Amino acid sequence: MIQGIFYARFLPQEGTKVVAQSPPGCIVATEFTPHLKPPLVDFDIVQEYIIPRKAFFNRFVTVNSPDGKHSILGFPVSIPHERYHRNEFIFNFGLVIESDVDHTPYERLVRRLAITFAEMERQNGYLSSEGQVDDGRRPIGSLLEIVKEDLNNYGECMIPIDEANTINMKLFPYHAPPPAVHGWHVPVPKTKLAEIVDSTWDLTLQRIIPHVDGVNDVRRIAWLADVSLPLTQCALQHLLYYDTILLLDMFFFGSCYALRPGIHDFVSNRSNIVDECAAYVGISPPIIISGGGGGGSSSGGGGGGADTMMTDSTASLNMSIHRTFSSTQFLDPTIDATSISRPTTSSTISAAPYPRVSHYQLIKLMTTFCVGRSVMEWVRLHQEAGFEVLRHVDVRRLVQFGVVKGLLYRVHKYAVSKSYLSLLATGRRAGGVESGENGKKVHNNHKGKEKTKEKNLEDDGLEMKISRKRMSRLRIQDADDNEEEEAEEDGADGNSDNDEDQNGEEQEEEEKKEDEAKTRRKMQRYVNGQHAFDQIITEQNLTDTEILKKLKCFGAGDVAILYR
Amino acid sequence: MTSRLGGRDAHLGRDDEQSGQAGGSAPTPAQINLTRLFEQDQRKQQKNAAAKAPENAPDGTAKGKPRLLLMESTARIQKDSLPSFMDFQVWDFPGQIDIFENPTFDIDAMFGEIGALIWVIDAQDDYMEAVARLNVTILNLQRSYPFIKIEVFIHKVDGLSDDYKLDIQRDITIRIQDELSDHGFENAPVTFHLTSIYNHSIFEAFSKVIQKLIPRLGILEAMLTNLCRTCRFEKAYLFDVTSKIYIATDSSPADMTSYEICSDYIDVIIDVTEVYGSWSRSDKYREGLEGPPWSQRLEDQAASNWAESSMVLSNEDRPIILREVDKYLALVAIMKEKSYDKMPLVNLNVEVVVQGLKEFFDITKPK
Amino acid sequence: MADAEATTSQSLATDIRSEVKKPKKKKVLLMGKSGSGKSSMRSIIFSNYIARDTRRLGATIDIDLSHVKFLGNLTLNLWDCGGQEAFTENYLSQQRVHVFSNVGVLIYVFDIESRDVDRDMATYVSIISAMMQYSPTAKVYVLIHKMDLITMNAREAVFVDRVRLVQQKTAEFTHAAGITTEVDLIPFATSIWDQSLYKAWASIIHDLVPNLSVIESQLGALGTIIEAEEMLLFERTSFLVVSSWTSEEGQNNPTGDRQERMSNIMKHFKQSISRYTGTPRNTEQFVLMEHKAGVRFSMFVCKFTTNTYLMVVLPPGEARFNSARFNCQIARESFKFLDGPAAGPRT
Repeated sequence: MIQGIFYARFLPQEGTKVVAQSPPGCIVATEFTPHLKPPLVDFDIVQEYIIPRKAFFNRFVTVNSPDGKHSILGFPVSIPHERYHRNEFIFNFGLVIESDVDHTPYERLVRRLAITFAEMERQNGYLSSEGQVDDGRRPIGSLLEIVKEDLNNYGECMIPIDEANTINMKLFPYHAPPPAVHGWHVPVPKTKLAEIVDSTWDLTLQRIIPHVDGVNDVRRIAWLADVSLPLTQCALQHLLYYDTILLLDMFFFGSCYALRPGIHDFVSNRSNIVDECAAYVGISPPIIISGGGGGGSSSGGGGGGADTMMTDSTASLNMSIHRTFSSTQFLDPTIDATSISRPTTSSTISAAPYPRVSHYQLIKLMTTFCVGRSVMEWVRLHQEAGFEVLRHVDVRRLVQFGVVKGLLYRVHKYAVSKSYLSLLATGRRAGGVESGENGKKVHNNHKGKEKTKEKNLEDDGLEMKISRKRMSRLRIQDADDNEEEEAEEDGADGNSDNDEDQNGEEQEEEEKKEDEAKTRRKMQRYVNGQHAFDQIITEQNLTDTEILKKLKCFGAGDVAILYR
Repeated sequence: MTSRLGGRDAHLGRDDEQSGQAGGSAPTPAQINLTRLFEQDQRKQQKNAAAKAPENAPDGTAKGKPRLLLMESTARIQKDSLPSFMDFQVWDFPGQIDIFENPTFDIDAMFGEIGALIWVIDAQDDYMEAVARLNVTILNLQRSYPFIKIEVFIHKVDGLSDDYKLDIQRDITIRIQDELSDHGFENAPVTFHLTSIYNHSIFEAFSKVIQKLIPRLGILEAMLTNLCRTCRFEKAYLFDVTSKIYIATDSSPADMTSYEICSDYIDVIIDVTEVYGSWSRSDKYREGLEGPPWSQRLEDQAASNWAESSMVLSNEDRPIILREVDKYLALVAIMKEKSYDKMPLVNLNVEVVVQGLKEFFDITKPK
Repeated sequence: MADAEATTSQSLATDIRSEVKKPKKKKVLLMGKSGSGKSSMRSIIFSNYIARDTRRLGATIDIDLSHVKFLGNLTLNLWDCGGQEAFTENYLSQQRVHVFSNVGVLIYVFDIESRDVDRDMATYVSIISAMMQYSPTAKVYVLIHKMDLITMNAREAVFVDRVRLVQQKTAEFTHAAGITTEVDLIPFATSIWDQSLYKAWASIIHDLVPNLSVIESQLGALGTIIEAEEMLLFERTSFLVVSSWTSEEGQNNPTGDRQERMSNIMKHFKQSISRYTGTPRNTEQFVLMEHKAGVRFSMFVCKFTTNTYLMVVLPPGEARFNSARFNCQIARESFKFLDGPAAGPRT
């Protein structure tokens, strides 16, 4: 609530003076309002911050009243010009609000008032001619009153000042700046975005929204929507800002989840959370979902639409998840061999209606997640215990429910290379070690070594490194990347030239080594313990096992896998 | 009138008599009449200020005071004569009088002896009418008195941006020259100056005008150039002390800053002399000074009868020297770095040049 | 001045005594109605503004504190107080103790053009009353400012008249308040357009400079030796006359205001040079200026000690001039104490 609004000026004779205020007497008592309640603040004390010294001009200034009850938000403006007596026109439009209210939404109002009137003053002396010319304008006092009333009652105001200027203001609720959206995040819509989107929305958003279905990760959304990744991230951040999506992790059967304290609520079924869960995760009567943009209709974290499992481990599970696949199924050449390819039609397999999963079962299911047990192992555990998890429960939804409700957290997997860490600790670049380790390469020309170093330098700055072919599919064009690739090829060529006289076997070995070195370079930046496997998976387009395989090139015992 | 720089009263000074006699069509130095014509509404004009600035500035103890602005406006034609190294007559014309339309003016008496006509245009105002009237005036003058130099002062350019100044100058120049060539005058002696009373540009402009009226200016300039070369001066000016107009300089390009510092330096010397040089000491005091240990007449103790001055700046050690030539003129020069030590030698050279200058004026002086 | 502080703050005074070598800070209040020209004169004296530039100054908001270094060992604690009614009210109420305690000098500026003289006087009296309360021993300078707006021949009368009014009001107040000590009012007529401003400020500074008698006697000794007519010692930045000596004959000089005129002239010239060299106004601009006006007089102004310039006016004579310059060079050593408190001779 705006408690008071005022317009103060610095008058060359009198000094700081409140010219207009609303409600009357809120800042300084006036002769018309001596009987009203006393002013909200002691103006004599705060006046030096209403029209402050030069250093504070044209800045947003907040003053708390000595009693700590009210804050005055102001933006003292000084317009230097010779036409003014004393060469300056100084004014301030201030708001008085309670100290314990979030100031942020009001800051914009104060700035808007200051900037608008400063500009009007500069252009035609609107403020300085106040009261001197009678052009039928609204006096500032009543203007302030309208501003205050409208903002308090409607949260916005639109007040025409003269034929050219209108004050449009709105109180925007303040949201914290949204966290960064990463490629491996999975946005889950909280509202039916597809229903509220219209053609006036941002074009990128319009393209992205159909693919935000709670299943696709950000990278894939970018690819599906044919939008560059940074733009996608940016658009999703906007959605995140307005609290319309949640960010979750990708779901893999190979990943681990562990319990959070919130599980107590679940066990005690506080506010019927288990019922809610049952309704959400149970696989009873099969949900018929249209193939294409089904994701858009999802609500409340509902997971309609495409669902993809990308883990190799699921292959052995031979399970069937009653989900449909969109025909635009994304098949990655690197993973299609191992991932389960399911029917691409929307045919759904559904047995006879299953009874709802009992509370006991659900709680049991939920509480058996733990560190070190992958979802796959968890499923197996319950199957062995005689409960056909996959038949009764949508595992992905169960996990999602757990994460969203704060019952579970994802245990991320990190790789740490001891040698790399020690390198970092000693402050040397990784490239040095590489060539040192590689005895064969010592005889390479220095140019080659330098190149390696350069490459490594570039490496750190690279967002991703994928073969060009894949890149084009993913529509991520990174100039550095291309250069990098070329450089690598050049390097390889140079090597082979140098090694011309060596026999083929050696050359083969050489190539192998070279490959290994490449892999190592590629993986090096991920092994400092800062990068979760999810990130590697999305950025490198590798599967979990492939990553592990690649990591082997660091030598035995060097790389440790951490869960946390 | 005594010398303002403290030298002994000049014997070479001519009488301040007004030279009213007509001397044929070509103006002689003694008969140069500067005529200023002013245009437009007098209330908005600084024309008086422009006119008086060079004349009045030196005697102000209250320097920087904008009292020039407070002067009454010109209502009638005023004739002022300036006592100086040569005698000017300045005719101040009110802007609202159209001299060519009004039969009461004796055009021939007015313009017959005139050397230069200064026309002031207010750059901060709409100058179209002023330019139109100037065109009429120039055309009138060109027919009968083609030798009159027309000097256009685009005035009050302070506060205008450099680009804008040049735009205005270009615009006015084109308008006037187009008009002139339309009437068949191709090479009319019209010159344009950007001026303001808030810096030295008005003095500079007046200097240029005066220099055009000096006969054999080239010889003066050659003398100064020679001095600069011999003594390694950066720049030398011959100043008219009273008006702060420079009547000659050496051939190196003139820049505003060196002119300003020299002219300000003259101011300082004038002011100091006014305080300490304008009263006569008692005879007893003088006797004491002439007694032991010096035992010499004061005149002999002093090295020169004329004022000599010099100063050394902190940063570049670039001395500025000043030497009085006669009661109206002073030579001011900016020297090169580190030449203060050679002062005696420099003084000797300056002395020679000053003698030469005196001879010059003796010769060119109207008989 | 330490005594003055002692009455208001005993502890502070002892502090000062215990650290004699530390530069003493004097609070100099600059007060007066808004637009009376306080900041303008301050800018001219201490910030090397020229009169014309002051038109560009904005109004002072609240109090503008500045510490002006003067002569190396004297720091002026200058409080330029915005004169708007709201501020004045604030000084007298909220900030009364803060503003009026520990004052060494109060400079009260009256605008001669002011229309509401009664009101000015009322404000003045309330300021004086606050002064008497917290710093009763402070010196009070009354500057009747903007005298250039009065026609030359009426100036004296107007000035005397106004000063009488101020004195009368002051007396009325002290009488009513039952204060026995007379308030020592020192009036000046000033204008930023002429040297009168320098006269007032030189006098204010003069009272604040320690070791003044030493400076004066040494200057006198030097002057006698070199047969000078007059010697002026200027402070480096402000070009205010710190000390002066005039010979017997020199006192016959009919120009009474020559000291402040010299300040004014030199200061203006300094600004010309700064424009010429493109250096900041506050930097040192020249080291030597000499002028030999034929058989009338000679003079030179030279860089003397780090913080001072010395101007010497001599009778004509080449030999006399040269020896005087040489002697001044040598005398520099004896004046070194002007630059720092550490070298100051104990009086």
